[in-house]
Amino acid sequence: MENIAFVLANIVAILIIAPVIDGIERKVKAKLQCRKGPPILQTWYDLVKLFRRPSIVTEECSLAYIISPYIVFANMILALAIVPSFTRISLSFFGDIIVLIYLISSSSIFLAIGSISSGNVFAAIGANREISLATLSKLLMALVLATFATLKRSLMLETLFPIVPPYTLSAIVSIILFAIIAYIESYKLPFDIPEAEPEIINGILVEYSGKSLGMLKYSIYLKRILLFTIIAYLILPKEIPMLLTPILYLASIIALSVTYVCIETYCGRLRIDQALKFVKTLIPVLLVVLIIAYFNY
Amino acid sequence: MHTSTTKILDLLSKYGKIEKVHENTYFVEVSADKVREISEILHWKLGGRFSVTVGSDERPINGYFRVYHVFLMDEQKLSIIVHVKINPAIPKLPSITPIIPGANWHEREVHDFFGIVFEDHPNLERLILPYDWPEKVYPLRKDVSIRELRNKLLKEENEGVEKREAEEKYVVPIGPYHPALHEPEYFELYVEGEKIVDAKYRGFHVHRGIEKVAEERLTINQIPFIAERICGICGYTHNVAYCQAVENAAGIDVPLRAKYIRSILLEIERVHSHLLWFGVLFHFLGFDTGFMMTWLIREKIMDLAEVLTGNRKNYGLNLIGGVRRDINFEKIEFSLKTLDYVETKARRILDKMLKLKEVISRTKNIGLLYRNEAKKLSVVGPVARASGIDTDVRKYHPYAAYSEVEFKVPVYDEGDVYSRALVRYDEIFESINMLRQLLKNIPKGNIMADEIKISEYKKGLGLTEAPRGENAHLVITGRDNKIYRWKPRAPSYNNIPSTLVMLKGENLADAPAIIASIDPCFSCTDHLVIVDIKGNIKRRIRLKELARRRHC
Amino acid sequence: MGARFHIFKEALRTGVVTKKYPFEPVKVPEGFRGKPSIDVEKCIGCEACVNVCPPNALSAEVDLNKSVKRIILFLGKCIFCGRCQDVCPTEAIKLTREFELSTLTTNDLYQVVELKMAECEICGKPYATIRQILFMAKNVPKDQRPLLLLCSECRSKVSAKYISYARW
Repeated sequence: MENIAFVLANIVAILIIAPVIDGIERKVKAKLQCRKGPPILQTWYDLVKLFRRPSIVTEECSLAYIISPYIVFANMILALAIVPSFTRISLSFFGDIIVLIYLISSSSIFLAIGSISSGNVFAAIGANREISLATLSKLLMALVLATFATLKRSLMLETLFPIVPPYTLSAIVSIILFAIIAYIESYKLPFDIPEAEPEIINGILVEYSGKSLGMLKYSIYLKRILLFTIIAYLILPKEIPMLLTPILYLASIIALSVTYVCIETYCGRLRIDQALKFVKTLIPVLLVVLIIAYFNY
Repeated sequence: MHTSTTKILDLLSKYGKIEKVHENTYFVEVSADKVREISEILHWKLGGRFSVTVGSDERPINGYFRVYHVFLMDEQKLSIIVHVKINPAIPKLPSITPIIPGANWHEREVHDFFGIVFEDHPNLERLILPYDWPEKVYPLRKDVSIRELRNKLLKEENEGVEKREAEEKYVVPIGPYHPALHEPEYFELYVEGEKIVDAKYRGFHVHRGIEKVAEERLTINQIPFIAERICGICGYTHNVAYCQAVENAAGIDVPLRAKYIRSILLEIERVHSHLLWFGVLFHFLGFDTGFMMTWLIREKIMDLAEVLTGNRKNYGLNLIGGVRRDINFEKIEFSLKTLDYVETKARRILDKMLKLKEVISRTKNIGLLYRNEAKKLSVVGPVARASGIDTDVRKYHPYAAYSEVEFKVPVYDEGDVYSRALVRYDEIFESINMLRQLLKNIPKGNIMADEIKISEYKKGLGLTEAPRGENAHLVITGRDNKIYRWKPRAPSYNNIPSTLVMLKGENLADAPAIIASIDPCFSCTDHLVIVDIKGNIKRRIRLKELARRRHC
Repeated sequence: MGARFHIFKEALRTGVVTKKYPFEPVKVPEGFRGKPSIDVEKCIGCEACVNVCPPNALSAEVDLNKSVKRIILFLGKCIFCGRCQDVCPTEAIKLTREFELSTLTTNDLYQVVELKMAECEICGKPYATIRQILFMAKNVPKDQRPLLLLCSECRSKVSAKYISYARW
């Protein structure tokens, strides 16, 4: 029973923190561009404004377009329930690592399905790009998680965290690769492609407005936090006292997002074919690491 | 092959009477059947280039319509204007578009505004007037006043349906494309997957009728202020081109100090315009940091303009015969300090940004325009210089104080987006160099001419090099302190048709960068069109239909 | 990588450039062309500014009943070119350095100067402002000053009579 209470508390805490982290990112990015930047709570103000407005739908839309924001949001919340965050307690069960991959993939797919069903051509182009990129990067993510599973010989997230010690070569390399994949997954430049504003006018998000847009943007922020959470817990040692965990967790999330922003600010956007080429080069590397992990190096 | 001026004038005199209007500018009257021949000789055989076509309703003066074709011979530093008189009862003229594709839009515009039919023109459709404009109403003719036009339009409301056929080999014609900076160009990109297979363009959504207003309602000295507002970035070049056209027509001698001041402000405008362009290019490539930091440098130039003229953009500095505001020692010191700052910052920042891998991979070999295409379409400015054509009005038809400064004209051969960026990059530093020379050597003297007498029905041509290319203004003075005909031609008019060539075969993701690379100069509206795939008919949406949407 | 690092260094060196306007005032340089303002004491109602204004932001109207001329400046049309300042003979209209002109009432954008007009001695029609006549009197020889008290039609008739007398 108390487990459920802790899990719910976790989820609520993350729901509150996610837009604040995005606000911190925007502020740091602005300072790096010599500007003052918006206040840290600005993302919260934007989301509240979006939730207050009605959603306008196109004449040609279908059911998928209307319900996909809800599905994506629900997927993210479930994924957050499975991983530990402010406390180490989460809904863990055998095979939850596979469920995690499923939830992350299905959020991308439903996002694409939703925008294709809107009937807008730009959304279709954006969804096209989203699916091409997502298929490859989910494959990569599955391979990395498989590597982690192989290292600890288990399919439960609880036993995977932390992955080090022991400091094997495959462990360290796979953490770095996971960090790169998380960067690609979180739509940061140079991989900002499905959502590119000047090119296809916000691609997958172009036909959404009001509540639906608010939910989709929120899901994107939650996905970033989810990926950062996994990276943080891969490194945080198990022996930290219960009271210190939230603080260390929050600190590591902020550190990760600030690092990512510093890299993002100085990059331009890649074209979809260039991005896919880059991602494809990572596949053989991952396969090699997977094999090394099998042999416990 | 350098033909001398005398040989050219001899050749032209065989076609008609030559009139020397002012220094290096000759008007030749020819008959309608010789227009094509002489255009071909001037543009293709003697190394000149076509610049602009102007139509004029001269029935009150001499009973005819008249069409002027302006050709510029860079090597010989001449401007040759070939004109034909047209019988108002049967207004037609052989078109020169089959020989010079760049004249396409120019002739369509004359057709729209005067009703002159150009025979053998490939597509003599409406260019500027909207589809629902009433037939047989030609706005720039002298027998229609602004009030009558307004009354006519308020009464008649046409539906205006336009039939367009989608060609079969294209899978899905994706309709209007809005590069998200909300500029009113309407490019129709036909796409297969991510590759563009064809592009069409429809513009002039914000045509403001400046020519008609200037003819009817403004005096000669009020027009510089409206000329300045033609463009939101390079307005001062239009101002100077107009003043030069009138000063040339009336034979007014502008004092040298005024010419220096005009050149100083023209170069300041060039620097800020190119920095703005770099910001826009980086924004389209997704590199927002580049956008922020180049505009940061630009702010200092805008502050300099404010100190020198009282306003960041609308300098309001020119009157016919000179300038209104002088420059003193403190302002010169301040300008030199600002230029030092701008040069160091630009070298540090822009230089590094143009070396980034993402920027290079998305601009090299993209948006190619080869030299012969560029010559056919008569492109001007950095677009031409990046395709290997050495043309710059400041060097080859010097005006203001440009004959007194030393500078180089950067020319690159590749014709892609990257070389256009390099041309503009080099031009920034050349301009700073020129500014230093102008500021240090400015002579003493008056800033306004003593004798200003403007007689009626005199013709003049004013040319300037705007940041986007060459500006050409043709002026015919009138009576009662008014202008009879004024035709300002901005450089983007010649450059936009080249985007349709550049876009074919490129990726959709590169389209904004390609369109931005010609530095198009529009103002802001958007237009929405639906292409119905089944029926192949386009409908224009009016605002009240947009309001009929379902809420959820 | 080196290029990116240089850009980063440059950004740090420049610092934050955002100004705190509107929470701190912005200084505009001398010679800035802001809102024009008419000094009521100096204006003589000659309408030189009305003639020259490119967008017709300055206009004049004559109220025949009350014998006043009004010079009306509407800032909504003003382009801040300063031509009015160039041509005013008494330096009554000048461009200030104010640029914060937003308001919720259009009336704030109007400045009206009312000047009393003189009535023609012969026909009684108001024809020019009193100040304009006094200004002109300085440039007119003493013996012809009485002609200034007539409207232009009556003046032409009287002058014609003088000329015909002179011929005699």
